[in-house]
Amino acid sequence: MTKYPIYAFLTGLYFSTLQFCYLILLQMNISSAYLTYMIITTSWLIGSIAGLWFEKLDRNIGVGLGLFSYYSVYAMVTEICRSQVLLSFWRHWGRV
Amino acid sequence: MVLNPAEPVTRTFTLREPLLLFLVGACLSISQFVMIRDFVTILYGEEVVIILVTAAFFMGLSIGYFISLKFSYKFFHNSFLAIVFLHLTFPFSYRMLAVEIARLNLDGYMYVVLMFVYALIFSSIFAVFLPRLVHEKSSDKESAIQKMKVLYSMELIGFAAGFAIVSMSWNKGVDFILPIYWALLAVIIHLALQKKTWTAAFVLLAIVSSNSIEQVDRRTTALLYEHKHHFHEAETLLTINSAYQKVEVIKDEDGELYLYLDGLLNLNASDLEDLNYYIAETPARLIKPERTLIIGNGTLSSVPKVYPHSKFVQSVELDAGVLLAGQKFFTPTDELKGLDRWNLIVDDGKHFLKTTDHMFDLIIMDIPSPLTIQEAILHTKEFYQLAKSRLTEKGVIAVQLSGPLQHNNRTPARVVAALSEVFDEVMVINSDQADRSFGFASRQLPFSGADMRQATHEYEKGLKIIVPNDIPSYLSEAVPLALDNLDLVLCRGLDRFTDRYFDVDRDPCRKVRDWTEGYFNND
Repeated sequence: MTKYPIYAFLTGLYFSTLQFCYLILLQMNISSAYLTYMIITTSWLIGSIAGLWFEKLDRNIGVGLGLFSYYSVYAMVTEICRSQVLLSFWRHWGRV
Repeated sequence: MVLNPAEPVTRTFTLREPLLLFLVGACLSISQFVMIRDFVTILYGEEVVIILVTAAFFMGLSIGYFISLKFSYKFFHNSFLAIVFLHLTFPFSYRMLAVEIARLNLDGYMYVVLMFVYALIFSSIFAVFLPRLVHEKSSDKESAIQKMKVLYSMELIGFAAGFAIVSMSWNKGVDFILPIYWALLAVIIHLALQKKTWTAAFVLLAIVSSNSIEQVDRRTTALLYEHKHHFHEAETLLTINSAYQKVEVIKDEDGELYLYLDGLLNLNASDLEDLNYYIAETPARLIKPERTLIIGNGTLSSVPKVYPHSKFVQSVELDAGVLLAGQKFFTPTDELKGLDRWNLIVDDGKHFLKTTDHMFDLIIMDIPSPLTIQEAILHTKEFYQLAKSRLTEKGVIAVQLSGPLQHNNRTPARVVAALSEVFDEVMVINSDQADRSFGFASRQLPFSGADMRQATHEYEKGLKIIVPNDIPSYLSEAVPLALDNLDLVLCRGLDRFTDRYFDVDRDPCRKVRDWTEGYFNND
């Protein structure tokens, strides 16, 4: 009986840490503009809905996918200065 | 009626449930925004407080989910009605209770209790809907799962819609968002209880209350400043929520204006003169820069000071709400008229520096103390490295140090340590008049201590000037602020928070460090 609450607690802890780190990663490397926060929250909402409806997206894949996405973005923002396409996108991020 | 097990299932009923959850999601989003902003302002917006207030909100939600199936329909009905009508006092009632705690000089724990009680009342009721609706009328596990998917999706979509409504309220007072919030609540009451009398009563009270939101908002804000910030008399000139913080302009009994960001004093009109003189006007006069970059300075008050000495001035400020407050109360638009060599961009400073093609002779960092992670990032050695890459050979970065430089590991020393790691020469001036130090760093400073003395001696006689050669002696204990070493944000926040509310010994982080070192040394 106690297995699922603990599992849910740990999953919540894992995703909240991931979400926080993701926000800080983008704020440090791209911009602290509100757009960054908005994109992360919207993505989190879309991800939660997708998790509800995609039958094949089980908890193991979900946890792995979260970590993979985080490090993919990490690689992308650290490489950003070398890519003209990313740089061009980046210039317009968050500027009003 | 919905949430009542006795009600038969009809087509209207099944449409009503998703709509109800959509509205619950939207209200959660709005109440989260209003509650967190207001409590952060009441408790003062350090990172520690932001974490605590957010935790209180989520705790309220978790308790709501947990107890949702443990009480009867009648209890739900009555408590829902009581809470939803209490929402009409939101956020003024807890602001007034905070005023009373301050007025009666009650224990600091009372603020935390107040916050958790309100979080419980305000967020837990919304969390009750989903489990109850999923649980009721689901004949088997399969249909319960299907229902949960639909209803939870609707709640999340509603949350996104609420998020959009919140975005529309940027740089406006709560008088914009509260009527929308109350309208959504009225529909929730109608869908959940199906009692026209309750809906009509709520709508009537909401309409009456809507007429006085702005006045009540301003008056309760002023009372908070009178009792909690110890103003003798306070008048609220502006109170808005920007995309990043609550921006408030308060006038005291002498007519002096104060700018508060999330309840923390950013500046007052007198301090602004000294700040602008040392961080902007003095280096500009000494350097005569071709291009000057001002990061922060939302009041734009340093622009007219720098402009006569620089061929081009670029201002970069992230928060349009602070710009609005600045132009309305601190730097009249007339002062900025005709400055055709000046340009303003609303952007994050580091984003601007990373994407601009220009080089600057002077970068002025007029930003708040590193009390949140966002602000602290702009005081790190990585940021200074970035600034250095956009400085000309003799370009200078000017930084306000949030206090006097001393031989310790506190904020001014850590910021200077970060500057020293990146730049070859760092000069610090300590002004008693401005109640803080200012740092100037460069590959090769284009002015000496004597130049600085000559430039400032008429403004302040006893100015202490620490020349580059003497700086290392101040930094023996200081750890440079860096992206992987932002403990200062939590430690300083915790220090201020515990000192303010719990009267605990200063610097809890130092105590933990001492204890840890003692423990391992004994081993």
